[in-house]
Amino acid sequence: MFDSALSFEVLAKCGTSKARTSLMTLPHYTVETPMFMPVGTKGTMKGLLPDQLKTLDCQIILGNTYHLGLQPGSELLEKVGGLHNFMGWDRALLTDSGGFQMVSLLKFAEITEEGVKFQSPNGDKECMLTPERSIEIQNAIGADIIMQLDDVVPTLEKGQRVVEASERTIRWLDRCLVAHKRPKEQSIFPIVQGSLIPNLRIKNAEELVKRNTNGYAIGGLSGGEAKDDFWKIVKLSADHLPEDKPRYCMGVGWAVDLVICCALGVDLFDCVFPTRTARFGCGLVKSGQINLRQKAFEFDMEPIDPECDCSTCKTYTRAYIHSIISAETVACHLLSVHNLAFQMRLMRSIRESIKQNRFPEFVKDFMRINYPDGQFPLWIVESLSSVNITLDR
Amino acid sequence: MRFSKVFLSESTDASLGVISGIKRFPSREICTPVAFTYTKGGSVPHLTREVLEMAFDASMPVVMPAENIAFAYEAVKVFQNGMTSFSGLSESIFWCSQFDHAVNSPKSLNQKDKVALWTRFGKKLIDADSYMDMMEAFKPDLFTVLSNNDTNKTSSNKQTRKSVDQSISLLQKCVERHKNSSILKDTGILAGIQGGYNVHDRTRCAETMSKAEVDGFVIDGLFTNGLEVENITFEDIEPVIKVTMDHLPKDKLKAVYGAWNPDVILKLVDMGVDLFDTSLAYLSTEKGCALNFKYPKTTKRSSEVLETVPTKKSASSECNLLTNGVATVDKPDDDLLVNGNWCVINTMPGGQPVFSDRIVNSVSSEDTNVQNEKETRKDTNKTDELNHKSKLPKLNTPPDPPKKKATPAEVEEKSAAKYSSFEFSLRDPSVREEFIPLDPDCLCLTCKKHTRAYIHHLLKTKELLAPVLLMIHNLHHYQMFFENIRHNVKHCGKAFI
Ligand SMILES: [Zn+2]
Ligand SMILES: [Zn+2]
Repeated sequence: MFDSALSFEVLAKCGTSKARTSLMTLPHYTVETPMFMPVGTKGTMKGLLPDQLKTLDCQIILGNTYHLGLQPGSELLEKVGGLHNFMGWDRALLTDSGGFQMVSLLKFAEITEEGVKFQSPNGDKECMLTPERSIEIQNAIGADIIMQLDDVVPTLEKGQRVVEASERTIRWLDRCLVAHKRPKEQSIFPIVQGSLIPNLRIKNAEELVKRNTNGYAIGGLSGGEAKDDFWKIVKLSADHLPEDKPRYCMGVGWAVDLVICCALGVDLFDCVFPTRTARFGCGLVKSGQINLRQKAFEFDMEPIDPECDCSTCKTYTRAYIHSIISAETVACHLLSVHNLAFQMRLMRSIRESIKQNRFPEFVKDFMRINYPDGQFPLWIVESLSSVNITLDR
Repeated sequence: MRFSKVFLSESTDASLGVISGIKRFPSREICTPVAFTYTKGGSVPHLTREVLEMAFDASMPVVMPAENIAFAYEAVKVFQNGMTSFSGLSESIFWCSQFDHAVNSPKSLNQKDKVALWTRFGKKLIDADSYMDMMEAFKPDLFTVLSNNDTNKTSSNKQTRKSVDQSISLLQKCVERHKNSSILKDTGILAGIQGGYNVHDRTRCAETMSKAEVDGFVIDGLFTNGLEVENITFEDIEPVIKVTMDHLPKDKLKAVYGAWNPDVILKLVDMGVDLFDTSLAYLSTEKGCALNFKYPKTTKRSSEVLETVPTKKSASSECNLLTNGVATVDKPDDDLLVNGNWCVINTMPGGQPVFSDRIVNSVSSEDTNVQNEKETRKDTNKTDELNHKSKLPKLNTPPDPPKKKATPAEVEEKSAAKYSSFEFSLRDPSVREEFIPLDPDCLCLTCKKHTRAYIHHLLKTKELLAPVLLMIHNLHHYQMFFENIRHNVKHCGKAFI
């Protein structure tokens, strides 16, 4: 199926694992994968200017349909020609379906075959987010990639409800595809659901693949499941998705998780983590994160990460950031810049190591830095060994 | 630090000058009148170094109030390279002022030889020595000495007398330390002239301090609530400013702090004040407003003959408006200058520039005033509502100043969101679908890339980008204001045209 809204070209594959690096050409930008997509919920990235995001090498960012639908609203976005114009961002955008937000933010959301029923935030009326309405709003927002409305169940949910959700997700996908008015400009990604039940996941993935969309997402994870379950489901889902289409694992943003998922063949990620942790005063470093609120940094004249080349680390010390952290918005901006730089650098190193055919070495070095004592958690050892990368304890 | 006047107007006390001889930047010159960029905690509010570089010249001169950087004293002392290096603004010429003049300072319970600074961690009583210790750690290029400025319009004679007595004694101690400090001996030093609104105390203070070994003076003690400065009229301060200026040496630097209404700034320039700060740009941003008053350059001159003071050295490119201070002689412009007044062109939220044609003396006739007052009350109520609905997180939202000096055009204007005639609110629902820049003529980074509708959305959703974008515009607007002031002083011999 030819569709100008997305083309995907694999540039290089890891000779050992399932990692690959590719170019995903979207209407607004050609995105290098594996890529992390920072979350700019309401049409802005935590106080950063679009030009700062470009300097950071952000290529695609995420907007939340639920929030944008409330404010400024789809009518306004349609009038201004979409979110790209509204926020002054000329690279790629992805929007979620709004369903997850609704179920997690609103107390009284109720899922029926028709859609997600919920009280409006001011509580005065009952609203319904149907697959059709979600796509209608996402068409107005105009992101390069849009997500199907899926039936979200808590990751640890069991039983008949999980089966129902998995099957309903397929029915809703079909309604989304019918409702989609801008297939030449926007690609719908379906979402593999099925909780932690392998057979359900496989069946779900197979059904979605039949619809032959431009890319696929793996959903319903990062919800408190054991890491051992997490990687197995990611691998299983990725294995049942086509080789020549991008795979997007939703809600993943920790450095270790990103490296593992890349090894399992995932191309796209999103997470609020780097910017949210910045808001709490934390800066990402190779061995994890440091909390700049701690008194220990009062006289620390080093940058957050001496090896980082971001604009924050070039100019500012830990001591200065510590001194303004709860008083000035500047502190939050400085940490957001650094944390996004960290995330983008990690993804760039992954892409380069795949191109140079040394991804397994990269992974081993990375894990040694994160676990200097060589005591790797079992799930890391097992997940990597499932794609032929052996960590030496 | 050196300061020299390079151009004196004959018709007013306005002048152009050059600050130079900064030890850290020997080739740098700053042309006055100038507004140093107001900072909080060592940073331009909301703007990181990276954003400053994108939107401005990151070496802009800054004023850092000791009060709002006192928390960093211990760390900066360890750091040893001064406050601007510590806070990422090492290329900026740095004026350390004493009090944060953009906040409401609670009544300070000063003691005999100590003055209270309200730091982020509470009240800190400091004497001249501990203040000078701070200066030695912060390493400013120019600083204001410690003084007691705890006076405003309502201060009693006893209070103004006390502020002057204490300030004179503190000045002597600070000057002594300055002379003997190996770190500060090349640093410019400004005395704080106190005395509130008491002409007698002002005279006494100015007379005494004029003999001190300082490079200039801050006319201080005019307000204790930095958030309400924009409501103080020129008529309120004129007598004490005049008597102070009369007693100070003409060739030295004069400064006034605060977020004054732009027309007060212009009149202060015409009285000979050289140095200001950008706190108005900051306070406007905190309210969710964009500055939109128009103060154009004019090459038209009024009937006064300008006189040039020979420049001692060739002016740098940054000072190009100072070279050959001879203005082109055009015939007086009927439209702009005959009324001898500042022409305000407000860009209203509706996007249409509204020409408030020829505001006569900024004070309208009696009946217009009555009309204005009615309108004002209505507006203020609506504005209150707006303010309650959406406030920026953690930001001080100053109380709504009463709208003043509404022009006839404004009276007709239905918008509820104007706080006053020099700014407009981006919280106003009427800008919700205005897909145009804050000011279509503005060349700032915000106006080049973003719309009023987007900023309205960011304010409504309490996003941190809203104050970033507003700060960029407001700072740019204020810088242009001063560029045009320098131009007009040179060409017209005065700023208030
Ligand atoms: Zn960094
Ligand atoms: Zn502007």
